[in-house]
Amino acid sequence: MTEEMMLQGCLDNLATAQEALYNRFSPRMLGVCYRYARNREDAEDMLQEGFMKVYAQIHQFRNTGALEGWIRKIIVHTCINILKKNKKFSDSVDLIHASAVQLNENNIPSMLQAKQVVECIRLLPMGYRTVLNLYAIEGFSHKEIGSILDIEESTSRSQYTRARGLLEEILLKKRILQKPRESVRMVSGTK
Amino acid sequence: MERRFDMTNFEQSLKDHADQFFIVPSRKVWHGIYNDLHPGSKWPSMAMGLIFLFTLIGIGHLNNTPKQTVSLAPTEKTESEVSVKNEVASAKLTPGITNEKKKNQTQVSAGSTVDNVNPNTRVAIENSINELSSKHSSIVTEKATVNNFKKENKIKNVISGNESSYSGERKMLSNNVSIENNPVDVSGAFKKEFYNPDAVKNKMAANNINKDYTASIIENKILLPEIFFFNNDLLATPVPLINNLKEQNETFIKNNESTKTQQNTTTRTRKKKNGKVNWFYYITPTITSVYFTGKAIQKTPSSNFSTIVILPNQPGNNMIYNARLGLETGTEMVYSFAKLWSFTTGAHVSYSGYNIISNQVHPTFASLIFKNESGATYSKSYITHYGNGQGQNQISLKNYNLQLSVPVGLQYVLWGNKNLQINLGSTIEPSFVLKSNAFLLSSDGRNYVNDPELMRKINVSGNFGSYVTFSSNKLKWKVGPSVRYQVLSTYKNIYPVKEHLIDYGIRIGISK
Repeated sequence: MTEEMMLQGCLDNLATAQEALYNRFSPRMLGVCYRYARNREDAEDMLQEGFMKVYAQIHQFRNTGALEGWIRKIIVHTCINILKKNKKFSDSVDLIHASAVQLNENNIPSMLQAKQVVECIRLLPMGYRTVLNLYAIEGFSHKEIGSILDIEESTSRSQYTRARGLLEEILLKKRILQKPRESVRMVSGTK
Repeated sequence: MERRFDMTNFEQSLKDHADQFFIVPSRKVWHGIYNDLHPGSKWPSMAMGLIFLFTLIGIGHLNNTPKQTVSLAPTEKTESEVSVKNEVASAKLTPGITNEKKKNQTQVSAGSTVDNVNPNTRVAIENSINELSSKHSSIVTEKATVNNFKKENKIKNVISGNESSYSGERKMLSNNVSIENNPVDVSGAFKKEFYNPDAVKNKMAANNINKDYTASIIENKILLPEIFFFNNDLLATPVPLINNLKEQNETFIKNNESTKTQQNTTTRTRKKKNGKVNWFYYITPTITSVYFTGKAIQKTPSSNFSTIVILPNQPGNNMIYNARLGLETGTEMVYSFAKLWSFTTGAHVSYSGYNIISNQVHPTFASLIFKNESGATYSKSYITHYGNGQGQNQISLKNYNLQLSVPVGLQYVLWGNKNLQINLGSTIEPSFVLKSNAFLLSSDGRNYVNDPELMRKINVSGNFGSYVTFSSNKLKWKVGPSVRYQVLSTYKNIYPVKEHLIDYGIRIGISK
């Protein structure tokens, strides 16, 4: 089924087209949700809510961009909204709160590298992880992140800096990260 | 694609890796979305559930409703007995009403009818009615004993102190017998005109009741407080004379013994006739096996979809699966229409399935090839993370069916007597699949995919069993092995592989 047929079917509220759309994009979108969620169950809840919004707003889609990108935006915003509903998340965007994190890299499963990287991201505290996801992966600016998460732009920047440092540390320990020698010295110097 | 992180472009590297990552969501996510998008599709299953629930309630109600006895004809009948009895026989008593309730109802009714009566008599009437109403309600119970009957004989004393004739006694005895065996509508209003002595006289005369009684009633100016009518029918007697008639009552009792015995016999006979229908509630623990027919269609290496090959081996041979425990429970009606043959029907719910041994793999694409009605083949791709065979990440996939069935069939008595029988039974069971899940082997035989759309909603099964039926105390048991074979494939016809579930079980049924 082509993308146009799927879109038209979804506009006509046809279950087959809706399922085709879901089957095509749900695995990747669940991967997105998984980076934001605490566990797989939460990620699936986010995915479900996100796709409900996709179907509800499908008539707003203009063929100017990729359908996947449009769906992804909705899914990311849904994830953020769900996280924001949780009080613990609001607390976790506080810098001081997140600085003293204990890493247990033994939790990282030894699977393919993409999964390893995602699992490493998931080891970060919620606040760090969210800012990192939004900035480095989704491509939002710090200003946008500030408005999305209701935090200062500067907070977003500092969160990201710390998140990145922490992630590098994890990636190095897992030997996923390949970096120049001087950079290694710099990282070890900061420690 | 294994690619090391490049620190010089951390964000891009992170994005590349994160974008490659995907997870296949469980089917419940789609079901949740689907149910939200199309809420109307819930109704068929809810409707079926409600129908099943009401069926069970109805069956239970029918099975637990007390049987009403019918009027009995005494062996020796005089002309007057017949006439009085015929009148009383039309009276109805509601059996479900409690004594207390009946008493209250009677009091209310009586209160509305005795306004024009002599005050002294009125008190007597009220007392008598109260006493009678409580006794009548006890009369109608099937377990009324002879002792109860002795007490009730007070009612029969229509005749004032005179030595009542035997025929009169018999007449009242007949009345009593009829009362006992007929439901009486207590709520029926007592009519004023029947408290009028003239009306009573006329009524009794019309019914050919002994003239002595009538004369006595009229001459003594006794209003006969206990003479009243239920639905225009004469029922009872004056209270003041009850004590004088105790001895006569003893005679009645003796005479009545034989009649009562006869009644009981007749009642038992009737019950036995109703016993042609038996309701069994049963449960059948089962173990499910599966049998495959048909052959999978596989793409040729050139991956030209128009060219197909038939796998030489059956797909079931490639699967590693374990039998699983299931359950079947429901109700069964057995109706004997001939000496050895019975018709059976009912409703039951069955759960059966099996486990596929699979191993979890990295999400990959797998395809199934289908064949439509015109014979053309087409494929459908799926993302799956279940591989065929055993591995380090072994996982058990559950294929199951939850069905609501209405079996219709025959039962044959192979051997036995009234208390112990060996039966052979066979039914055909149209089924509605309430819920199901199945993982299908992909066309290349390497993966399992899950597609609820392929599941058949309506199916047909055949059941065969041999049962031992025996009576224990008041219960009837039915125990024996049974085999259930799913005639139609679990999947729709477009899928070339046919799956047939076979349930082996022990049926344990119970009936009152």
